[in-house]
Amino acid sequence: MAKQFKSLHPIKFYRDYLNQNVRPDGRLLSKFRPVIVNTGSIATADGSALVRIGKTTVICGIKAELAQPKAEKPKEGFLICNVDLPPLCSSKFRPGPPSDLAQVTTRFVADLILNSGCIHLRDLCILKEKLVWCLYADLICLDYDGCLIDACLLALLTALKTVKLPSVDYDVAIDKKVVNEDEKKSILIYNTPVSTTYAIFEDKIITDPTAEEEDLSSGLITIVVKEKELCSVHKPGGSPISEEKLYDCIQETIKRADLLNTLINTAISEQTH
Amino acid sequence: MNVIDDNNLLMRKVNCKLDILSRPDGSVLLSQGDTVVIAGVYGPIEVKTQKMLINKASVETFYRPKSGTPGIGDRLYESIIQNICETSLVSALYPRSSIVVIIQEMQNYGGIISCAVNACCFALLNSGIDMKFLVASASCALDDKGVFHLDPDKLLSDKAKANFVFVFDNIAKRIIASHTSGSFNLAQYEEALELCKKACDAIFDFYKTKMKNEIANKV
Amino acid sequence: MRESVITNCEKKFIIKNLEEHRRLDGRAFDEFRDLSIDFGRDWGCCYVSLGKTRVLAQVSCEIQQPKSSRPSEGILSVNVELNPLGAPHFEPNRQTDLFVILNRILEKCIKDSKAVDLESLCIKVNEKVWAFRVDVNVLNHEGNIIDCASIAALAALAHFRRPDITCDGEDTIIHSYSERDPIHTVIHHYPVCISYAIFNEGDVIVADPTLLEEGVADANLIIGLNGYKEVCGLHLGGKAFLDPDSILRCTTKAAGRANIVIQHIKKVLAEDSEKRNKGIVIGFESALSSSSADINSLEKLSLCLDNWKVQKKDKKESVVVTVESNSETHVDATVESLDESSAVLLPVEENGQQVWNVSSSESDSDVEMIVPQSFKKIKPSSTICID
Repeated sequence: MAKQFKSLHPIKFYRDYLNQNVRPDGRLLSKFRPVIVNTGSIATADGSALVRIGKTTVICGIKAELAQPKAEKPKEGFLICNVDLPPLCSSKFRPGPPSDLAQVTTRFVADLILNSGCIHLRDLCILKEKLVWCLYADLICLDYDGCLIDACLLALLTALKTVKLPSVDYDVAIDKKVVNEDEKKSILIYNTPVSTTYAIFEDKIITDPTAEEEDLSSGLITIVVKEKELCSVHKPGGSPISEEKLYDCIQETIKRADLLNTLINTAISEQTH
Repeated sequence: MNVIDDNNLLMRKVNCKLDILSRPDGSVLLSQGDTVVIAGVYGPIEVKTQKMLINKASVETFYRPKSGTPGIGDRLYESIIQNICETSLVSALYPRSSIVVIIQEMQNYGGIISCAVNACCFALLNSGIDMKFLVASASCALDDKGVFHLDPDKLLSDKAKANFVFVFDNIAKRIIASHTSGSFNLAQYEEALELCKKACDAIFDFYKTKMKNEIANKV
Repeated sequence: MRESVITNCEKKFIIKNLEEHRRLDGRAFDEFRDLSIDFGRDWGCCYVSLGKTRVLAQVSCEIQQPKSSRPSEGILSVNVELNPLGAPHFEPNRQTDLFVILNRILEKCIKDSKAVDLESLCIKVNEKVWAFRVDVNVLNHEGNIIDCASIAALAALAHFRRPDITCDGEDTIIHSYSERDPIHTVIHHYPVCISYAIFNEGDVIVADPTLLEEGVADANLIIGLNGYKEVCGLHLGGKAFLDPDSILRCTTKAAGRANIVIQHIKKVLAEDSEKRNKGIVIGFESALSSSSADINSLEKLSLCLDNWKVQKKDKKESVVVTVESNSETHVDATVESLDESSAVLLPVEENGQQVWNVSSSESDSDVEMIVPQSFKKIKPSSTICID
């Protein structure tokens, strides 16, 4: 009976739950889903991580290649992010060119990495104007159940922290590159931006929404925090909300950021042992 | 930051011209300082079958840069503007139809998102489509010294430590959209929000005077 | 949206009027609509209106490797974009017939006629050349896009300045506009397109057709001409049994018009550079405020500091709160490390009970939920609990 009620009146169904201060999956309004981080999931990649937030699963693989820098920025390497939402992860997505959501997420994550300064592109330079590292970060969503940005960002940061680059000797005169696979060094990560997504449903704020909740909601808020500083407060339209509620969300995110940081560090230290 | 003669809390001059194009149902050329955009609205018009919604109008937005094809950066603008339009329009009044909003960048000297959102609202007003509320957007930049600059130009926002864009509605002055770049703390965010809210009040006044004049001229 | 059809009544009405030597907008057959050209603040940005048809052109440049067949020549590409703003049936990124025809004609007229000195765009043979790209955006389609677009593209090219560069052995340094005066492009000749619509198998030929006239016409004749009366392109589309004499006559008339247009382009270019020399602010926003009188500028928008008060005290407090609360957060959730380089963050419910169960065995490495007794009590209303 509940099933029929849910499919006929999804909004009413959800509202009834929320009025009792509980969500269909048993969580309270302000509770998060469990987060699992696994590092070094892809052996062939230079750095990789798998992240699960509830059912949402994102895998990130980073591949490093040698490249020539751009003429305008001779001392900077490249970090190219790409978020892929294959039809596998949800029936919402069709095969073919990247969907709008994939493009917007790609852009948002790439902007965030640049803005937060968690990685300095100058560190990727091997020889000015001649040789730099180009990191291709491919984020593939395996299961889509809300909070895509959170999962992508977490996966990307964890993967970046596990990247190990070999040292390269470059002889300019004869244009010869020698890659020493034995001497691998990790890259410097200056800070760790982590994000939390909230959904607005009528006058309530729901933490860490599932895909179903995202669809029913009238707007999303994503807040990104790095080491006690805010990195982005992103609310791309949707229902208007008051400042107080927004500030509450920010406070909540700052609290959770520490936990997520510990989570990443624990996962990485487990790997090195 | 109590320097009165400092013009960091002045908005650039806003200017607009309605009905600039003949084809769209509503169009406007809006300039904020040196940043200029043209916005046009078609609607409600015939909708493609795959985009048809039976209970409301489907809202489509396009953001066109003036050179090159739109990239993924423009998709982000498009999705923000689309979300804003969807919330501000009473789309339930126009089922099985589509409302198309197009923003054409003319000159980009900073604050293009704010300018685009304001132009979009003007064009919607001009087209006569029913709206739940008006929207206005303002942006500000935080420089290295911790000083806020309202409505920064390109030079200021490139140098800034953080940039903020806010969109408010005109009824309860609540936040519809927030987009930031760079890093900042909560206190600075609150300050930026208050500052932009004040600026948006001025923009709502501008909407009012402009539309009043426009109607008076037509009569 | 599909393109709206022109009804038979409209067609008949227009043709009948043309037979009586009348056009709907009152123009003579060889009369053109008003042309106005404005330049933006950026180099190579040009806004052209021909009657109600509006077009925006922007030139951009970058350094590229030359084509192997032309190692010492720069690259020029013209790209007309049918912006959905122009007409509701225009779709972005779709190659319609109109799109292909417009692009090809413009390419023939400007690129193939060698109007731009491509050799001067070479930086280093076989390695580096300037690649120019002209983006033409159709903002409002009221007929005769091609004339408008060709004028806009040409004026934008003539207005454009590329940044200066220095070659130092292998390196190429690009100087910004503020560092060094930019260099303008050499234009050998100014080709523009002039179009005519042909009705009644060549009996009636009208210049600068409007949208409606274009739709009704049997054929359209587009002639590309430069200031020296040289033909740079000729396109006859549609079906009309036109005798060669009428084409020649049209071309002669078009040459006169081309001259007027080119003089106009040169005049506005000269005015623009004069203004820039004097340091007068230029750009669309000034063109806008000067062109119409009824625009009221918004002086009210200046926000003053005295009616702007920041409540500093509140904010300090809120920051303190966040720092303090951080110490308590660990009650909310626990981080547990699993074997095989994984870790998990588990939220703890209010009453301190752990509701998520983690097992690290391979078979079900998933997180599953244990519904605690306390939840059953607060399970919502009767309608849902029935199952």
